Amino acid sequence: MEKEQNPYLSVPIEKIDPAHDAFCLRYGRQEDEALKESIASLGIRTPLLLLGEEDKLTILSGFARYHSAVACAKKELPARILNGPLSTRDHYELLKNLIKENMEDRGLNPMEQAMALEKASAWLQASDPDREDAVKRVTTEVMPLIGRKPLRQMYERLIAWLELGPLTRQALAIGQIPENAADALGELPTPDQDRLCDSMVRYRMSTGMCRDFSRMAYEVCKRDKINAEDLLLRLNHDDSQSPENPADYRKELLERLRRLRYPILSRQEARFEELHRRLALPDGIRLIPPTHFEGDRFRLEAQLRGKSDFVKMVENISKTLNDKNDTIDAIFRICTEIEEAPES
Amino acid sequence: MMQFPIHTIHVEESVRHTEITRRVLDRLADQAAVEYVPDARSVINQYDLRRGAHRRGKQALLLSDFHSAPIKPCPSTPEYLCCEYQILNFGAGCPLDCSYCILQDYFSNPLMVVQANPDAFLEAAAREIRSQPERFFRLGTGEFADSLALDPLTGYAKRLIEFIRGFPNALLELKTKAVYVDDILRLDHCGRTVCAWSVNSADVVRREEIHAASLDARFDAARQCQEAGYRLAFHFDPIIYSPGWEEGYRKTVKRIFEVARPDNIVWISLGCFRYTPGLEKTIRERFPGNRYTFDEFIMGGDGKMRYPQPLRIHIYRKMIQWIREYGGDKVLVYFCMENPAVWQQVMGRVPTDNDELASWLDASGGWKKPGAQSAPIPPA
Repeated sequence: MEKEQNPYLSVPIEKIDPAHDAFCLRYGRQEDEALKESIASLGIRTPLLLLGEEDKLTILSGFARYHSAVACAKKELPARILNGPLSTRDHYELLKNLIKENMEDRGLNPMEQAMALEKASAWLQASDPDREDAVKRVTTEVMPLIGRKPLRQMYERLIAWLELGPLTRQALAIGQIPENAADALGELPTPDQDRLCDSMVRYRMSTGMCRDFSRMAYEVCKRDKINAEDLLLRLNHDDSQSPENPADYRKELLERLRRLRYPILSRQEARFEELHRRLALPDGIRLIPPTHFEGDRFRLEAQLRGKSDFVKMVENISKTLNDKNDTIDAIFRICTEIEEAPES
Repeated sequence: MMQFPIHTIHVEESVRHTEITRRVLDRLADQAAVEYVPDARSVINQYDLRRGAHRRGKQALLLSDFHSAPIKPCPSTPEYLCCEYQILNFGAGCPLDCSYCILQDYFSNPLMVVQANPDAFLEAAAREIRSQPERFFRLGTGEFADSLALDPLTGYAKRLIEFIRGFPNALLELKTKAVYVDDILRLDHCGRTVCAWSVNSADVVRREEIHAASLDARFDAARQCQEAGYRLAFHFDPIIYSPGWEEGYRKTVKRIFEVARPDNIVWISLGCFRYTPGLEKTIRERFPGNRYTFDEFIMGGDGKMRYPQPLRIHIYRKMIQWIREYGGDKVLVYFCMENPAVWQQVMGRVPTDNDELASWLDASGGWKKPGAQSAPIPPA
């Protein structure tokens, strides 16, 4: 790409066509008040980069500056103009440079990264319709620029985010939900994605909670062939109510979902807790079942201060053995028996 | 005969003129393109596991020279007891495409491979078997592949049955979901081959084993093999839990004993569905209608997802109850890759280690160690 670049000019704002957004790498960012203030008082200090093709100026770099200037009622903008027309390969190289600059200046959020990949593929396919070749080249050349491993699987993962529902895309872009939550929601129909995303955002679930909530919600919806609305009903979740304590509420919501997703384990856990309570072991002593009740190795955890505690513990356990033998039997059957036969 | 949807055959140059290659090419000449390659390994790289490669792999067959070990141990996992089955490595991959197949994740490519130089392969296997006369080789071809699914093309089963009958310290188990038994019925197998079918509930067969033979056809093939003097085995693996599972599995157990004499069954294995995280992803992508991966699983000590142990025990108890009800107490039943707690709870006895479990199966297969007074007694 050896096109001559004019020194920068003052361009009437109406000559710029912002609708052509093949180079826009901006998604989901809040209106930049600081930029507007700066433009209102100092004007635009970094010229836009425009492409002049067939008497129409399109923006290559400076979408945020353009929109802020419009909001400040500016009539003219400083800009460098690149003379067109350019080949689609030139466009691709140009886009790569912009991606690199954006990554260095401000970083790209996940949606912007996905857009960058899609746009780069589109430019390559404009000259060579072989999609496989385009994907291969973008994977090896563009993905490292956005800080992702050059893997086909990763490329497909990011591109899939572009198909998410609008609310979910927005939440992913501004970091309200993590990427793995977006992946799980992406397996559901769009309305369900946005419905579940709304709940996660509304109750400000943490990254880990979002991950667990979205994965379990997706799996229950698939397993039971229900939609998000039905799922939330099963969870007794009502958006119209504002819980007194949102932190407790979201924890409870997640727990209810877990019981729905893992009914057998949840029942076994509840049963174990009930039996353990019945044992009434002294404070500091706890029987711990195998992880997920797999295998048969229980552990006894005891916090002891010296010999007298130890002696007391042994006496207590002996007493428990005499008094609550049936409960102890039931506890050790927890890994091998289901209280009620699963539905069949 | 099944129409094999094979579109491409890759032939390694060195096996261009072997009998198996000629036979396969004769049978598929009209439908498949043939490519000769100097080295089979270069073909394998063409079938990396990108989206769509699984299907492509089922449409391609690689006729390869003998490159690897002739006998390999079952890739067992820690914390779960393994029967120490030995894989007679005649090929890999399978055309059946059952949705739950672990090979989708186990192999790095989905290509079907057949050792097309059986002379070299079987000579190496023979050397290994002869070199350890004190050891019993319970061999099988049904772990990395289906033992009979490609047999109309390759004719391998006949070759293997004739091979194994010459070894007093070896037994071959052909494990399959196919029914291509015509070519083996009249063979003199000397009792050294066991014909085994992987079976399931009719629902699971219909939904998840769509290219495999029907249950009726499998049982009919088993009956023919029994009449031809073969001993039989049956494998319930994977048992897939779903609403109404009991009726489906009970009926299949009943069918086994309507067809097979209990004293002619060397073993029945049970294994609940389990999977690696990678397999879950593949199943959900390739078979989007599946529901069983959305059931309740926990991660076992070997990193595989399994039904919670109390549920597995519940399932196994039922299965054993039906096996005993319809087949009596004599048939040896074992678990494939289960932990000692499950063995204890369901069978009331735990093999001390993999070797002991293997010895039970060896004994049921007819092996008595040279000099031993009696064979180990497997649990009833």
